[in-house]
Amino acid sequence: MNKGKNLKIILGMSLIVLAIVYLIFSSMQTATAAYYMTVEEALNGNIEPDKYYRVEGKINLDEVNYDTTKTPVELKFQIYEEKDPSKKITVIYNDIKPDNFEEAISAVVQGKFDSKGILRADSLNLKCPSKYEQKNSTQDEGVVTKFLRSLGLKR
Amino acid sequence: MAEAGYFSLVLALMLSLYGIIVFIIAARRDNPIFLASAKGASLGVAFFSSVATFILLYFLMTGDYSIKYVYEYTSNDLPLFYRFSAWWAGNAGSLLLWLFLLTWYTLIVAFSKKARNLTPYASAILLFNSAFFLFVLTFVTNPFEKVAGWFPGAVIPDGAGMNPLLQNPGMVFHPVTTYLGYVGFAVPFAYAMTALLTKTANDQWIKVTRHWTIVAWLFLTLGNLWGAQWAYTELGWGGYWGWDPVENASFIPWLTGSAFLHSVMIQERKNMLKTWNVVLITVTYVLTLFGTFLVRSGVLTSVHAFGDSALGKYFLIFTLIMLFFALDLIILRRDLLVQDGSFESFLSKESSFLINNLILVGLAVAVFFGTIYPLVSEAVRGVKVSVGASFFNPVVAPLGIALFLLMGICPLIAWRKASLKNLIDNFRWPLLTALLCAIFLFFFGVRKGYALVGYATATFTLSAIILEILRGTKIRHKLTDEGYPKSFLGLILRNRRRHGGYIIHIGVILMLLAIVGSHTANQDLIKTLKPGESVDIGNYHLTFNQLGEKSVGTSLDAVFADISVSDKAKGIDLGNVESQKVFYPTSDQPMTEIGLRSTLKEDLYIILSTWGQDGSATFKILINPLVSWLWIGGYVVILGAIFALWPGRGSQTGSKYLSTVNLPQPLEGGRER
Repeated sequence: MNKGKNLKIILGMSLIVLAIVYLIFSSMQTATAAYYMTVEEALNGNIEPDKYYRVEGKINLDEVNYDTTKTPVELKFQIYEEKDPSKKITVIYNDIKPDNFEEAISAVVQGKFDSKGILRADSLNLKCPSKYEQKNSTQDEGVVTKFLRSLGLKR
Repeated sequence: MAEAGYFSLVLALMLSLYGIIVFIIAARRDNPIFLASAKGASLGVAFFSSVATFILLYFLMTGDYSIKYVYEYTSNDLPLFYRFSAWWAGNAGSLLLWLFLLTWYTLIVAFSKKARNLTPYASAILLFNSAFFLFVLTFVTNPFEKVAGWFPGAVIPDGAGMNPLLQNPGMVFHPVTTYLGYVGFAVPFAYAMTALLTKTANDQWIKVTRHWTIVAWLFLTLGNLWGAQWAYTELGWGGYWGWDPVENASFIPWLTGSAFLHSVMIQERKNMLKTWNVVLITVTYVLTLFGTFLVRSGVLTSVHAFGDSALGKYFLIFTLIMLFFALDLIILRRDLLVQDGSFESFLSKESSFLINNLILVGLAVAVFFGTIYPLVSEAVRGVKVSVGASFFNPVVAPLGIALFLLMGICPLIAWRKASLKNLIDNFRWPLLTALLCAIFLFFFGVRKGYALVGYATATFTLSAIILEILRGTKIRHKLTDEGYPKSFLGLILRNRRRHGGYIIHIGVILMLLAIVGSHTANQDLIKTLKPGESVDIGNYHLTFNQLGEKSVGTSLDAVFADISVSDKAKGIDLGNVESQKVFYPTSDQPMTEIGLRSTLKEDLYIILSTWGQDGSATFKILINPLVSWLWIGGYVVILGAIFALWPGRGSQTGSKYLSTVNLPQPLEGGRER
């Protein structure tokens, strides 16, 4: 084998690998990173105005306002901390209200906070109980399961 | 009968454990009696797994709601079609589907007449996979569990019903094809491991599994594509790909699987990249498991994941076991994997394959990194941070373009070493057409850099492939004196593997057009319209006529908006589009059923959001250019794969240049015909 040629190939391939790695890391620098935050943390005032956040909370269904006369349309609602419903933040989302909004167990909202502490969302995802498995905590058993449990094979 | 189903699973589990042990003994002692017994065990595993599957299907079809799974995913008003698809609507059922496919694949391997020296261990490894699924099904999520509070004799009249989102043809085909792909990659993995275990250093495992790999790749491609189609038509957000962890989970093994599909050709031909190939198939296989772990464990927030469950833990443990088993074996047998050939020039077909692999794996790494970034950042920096399209698109777009360019370069570049003259001769025409295409598009108003580069790349690659086929036809015409059409047919039929590959490439290029078009020239607007009011978007003039109510199918009610579509400039009537909200009996909230007017040029995509007392309605309207080509490209890919797989004369070409272990270098150089 020609060592010199092999070296050339290895060098060329290494350059390509480096270029790909560089591309990944430089894109990571410029990408909009969404910082996870709880509703409580947001209320404690740790918000930086330029940062992009991702907040998850339960939707307060009593205070939902979907105004379709505005341009663009405006969906205004509140999300709150599950443990402490008094801690809530207001979210404004200028897009159509997703299906299942009323049934969602929680909303994952991404956006920036404005000066009034309102989260201006550009992305709204819902976690829905009815997707695939249902949140049915009653573990019901057949004869076999009971049998296995009695043997300690199933917890 | 539910107990019969459960005991079938238990029996299958015991048989699979027996089969693993006996297969290993049979392989070690080369004992035909043990081998026959082990084969029988794998038959038993497939049989009892199928029995369990059919019992579950029977319950689903007849609506025995005393079974928890049946209760949770079906109801009396569900059409028979979706009762069947409830098989994979939930955790337990979908694992049963996976098991069902896996046991039949295992059976085919165990009774295969090819490569008998490899089948015992390969079957044992596959049975080990089955054993894992059987373990999970018997101990963690039993599909035959009874509903809470059920007692013998109790009759439950109706079930909770299937999630309306799953009541769509896309959700019928997408999971099955994805699983067929996932399971399929277990077979080449099993053979690769066997080759290492039995110290078989040649490329026998690659030859034996070539068809398995293509089939698995094809199904995974279709799984992804039909998943995208489902998202597009059913989820109603206007797009087909959102870089959601669940989507990425099946995209990453597709990328590494594609890399594997290409790199094995280098081993077949040059006896090189041996370690690389074993690592690639291992990574692909492990990623299919890891993807399932991501989807089922709830570690990453996803829009359409299965609920959180203990399943993820088991998948993670199993994934790690398989990963360490494979890595250990690769390190232990590294002497076998020393490569014979070498690269002779940077400008050669070999190195274009290698670059192709680097890019595909680079893409996989990038997507993987972006997907698990929340976990990484939490571990490293202590803050949980996620990235979305703003990370994925800037990485994937340039790498994707490079990959497509390579797809055009590869057929036209010589093996071993290409001269500069060879390059200029070959690439003159494709480059010229690409340039003309870009100029043409520029004058017709396409100004976005990515759009121009994307379309030009597609043109370049397409013309390179066409040029290659034309040249082959010409040479054949000269050699055989046949007419051009006959030469053309003869050419592509004689080397179906290669030309099947070209057809697949053409299909993927069509998809590229769709991706570029729908990402660079899409438009959308949200507007509330009163009856009779109009709005313009793109070249369309839309008039909202009225709202109405009607019944869909047998039991569903829908509110629909009737919209007349006409050409904005010429005023020609283009027909009506109906956008709906459908009320399902099992859900309080109506579900969007988009209105779609699809042409080859673009999709007009209308979502009915809500309506008011005065009969006004709010719409989100999108123009998604060229999206149809995504689906058309998919069908071309299927066509190409079937073409490449079609047995008989012409299907094996390419392997005649195979070098054996003792023959380190191909004896002849240059391009082969």
